[in-house]
Amino acid sequence: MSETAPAIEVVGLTKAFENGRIQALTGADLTVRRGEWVAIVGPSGCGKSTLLHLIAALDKPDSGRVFVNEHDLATFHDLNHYRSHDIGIIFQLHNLLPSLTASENVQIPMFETHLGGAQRRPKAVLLPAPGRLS
Amino acid sequence: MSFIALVVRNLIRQRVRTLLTILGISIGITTVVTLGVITEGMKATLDEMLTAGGSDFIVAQKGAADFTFSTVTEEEWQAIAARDDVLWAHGQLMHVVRVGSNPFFALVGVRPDDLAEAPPALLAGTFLPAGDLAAVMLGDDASRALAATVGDTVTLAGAEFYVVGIYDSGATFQDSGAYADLARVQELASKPGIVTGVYVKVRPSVDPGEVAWAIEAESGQVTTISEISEFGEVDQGAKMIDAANLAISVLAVGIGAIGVMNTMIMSVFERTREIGILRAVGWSGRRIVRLILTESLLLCLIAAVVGLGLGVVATRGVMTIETVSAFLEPRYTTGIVLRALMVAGIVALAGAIYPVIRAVRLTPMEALRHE
Repeated sequence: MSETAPAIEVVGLTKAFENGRIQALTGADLTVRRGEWVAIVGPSGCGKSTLLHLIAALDKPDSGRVFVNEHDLATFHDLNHYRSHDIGIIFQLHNLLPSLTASENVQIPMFETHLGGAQRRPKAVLLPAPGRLS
Repeated sequence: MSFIALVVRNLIRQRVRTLLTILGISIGITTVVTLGVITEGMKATLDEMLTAGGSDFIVAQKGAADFTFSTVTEEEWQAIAARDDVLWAHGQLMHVVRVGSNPFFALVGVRPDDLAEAPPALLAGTFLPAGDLAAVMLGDDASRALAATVGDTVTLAGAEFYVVGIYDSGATFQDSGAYADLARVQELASKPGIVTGVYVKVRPSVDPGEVAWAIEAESGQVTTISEISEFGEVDQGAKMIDAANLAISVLAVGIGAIGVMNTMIMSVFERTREIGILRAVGWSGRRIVRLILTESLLLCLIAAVVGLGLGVVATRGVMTIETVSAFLEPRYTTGIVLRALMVAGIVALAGAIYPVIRAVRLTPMEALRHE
């Protein structure tokens, strides 16, 4: 992996819903370099969330490719590992588990790591939390 | 937060539903336990009857609906007693009558000499004197129930007897009954020349199995019983109780599984979006399966414990009925506990299969879009 290679590269991504009636993405391209901050803006329904969901491997594109650190997501054998270790997503809606505390919600992704129960809690408290949850 | 804490939290969220599900399953397990304890008690009673007096096996009528209905003629009995390989053969006539509040009082007719040869433990008085048709020995339970002791007169099967001794055979059914002279009991039961069964002891160095086989081969009318499993040959009741026990276990599993499935489907349905969140943050399908299965297993484990407790209470309730306590003592065996846990385990797995399949088939986005 070269230092100049993009962290995320999206090539010709298309995604439609409701049997093609709604075209969310029609050949979207995007390159995000390492250390770069990118804001995707656009009117409601233009496909911003769909693009992020495809990059986060929460959904599959109809066509096109998503590369993360030069690896094609379509070739990943363990997308769960990718979701729990390599990428994080904060949803537009407050997608939290209502029966859990804020700290416990933060610990949820750590279940897929080597950390035991005793190690997860202090790590969740120490994590920097912009707009800290309460 | 541990995985199991998350499971418990999920169950506590819907307290009423969880409690009702536990109650439903535990009632099924209570039935399985109660029936199991009673069946084990019955088998123990049969075993005590089988080994009474140190016999190797019993000879009884083949295909009798109930052991007490078995009829073996005195000719068949004498033929067995005359065998060279038989040490002794004691015929007994079991006349079951109502005495006081006990409808299953076993008035057992024996020859006094036979009883002396293989006697129960004598607690008071003497054994049956030879030729005294009015003498009776009471079991210690019967003595207490009738408030009668040595020297007292008791009325059994419409006839008056005077008590000569009190015994303790260690067998619930016998200890709730009495021994009297065979001829007198045959007369009272209107069964002259008939005994219910013949208790056989073979000579040392002789294989009891071979003797039993030879007796069966010589007479097509009788069968031999040396183990509880063979009791079904002369007592269809034992077979029926075993069959009922199995049927109720299957029903308990079926009804319990539907209850658990309902609870788990509701739970998974309501939490579809949450499952989507778990998938979105990297939880594998395997971990989701573990979550749902553990919830289901925990639910059923609690139900099993509650069911076992209720089973003990229910059994004690059943044992307050004198009719039942007269012929069996409850037996709490490890096998019953294992059976209850097995039923709970099967219910948990059967109830969780569909919810698990549904949860795992959802992609993260499908689950997150769920309203």
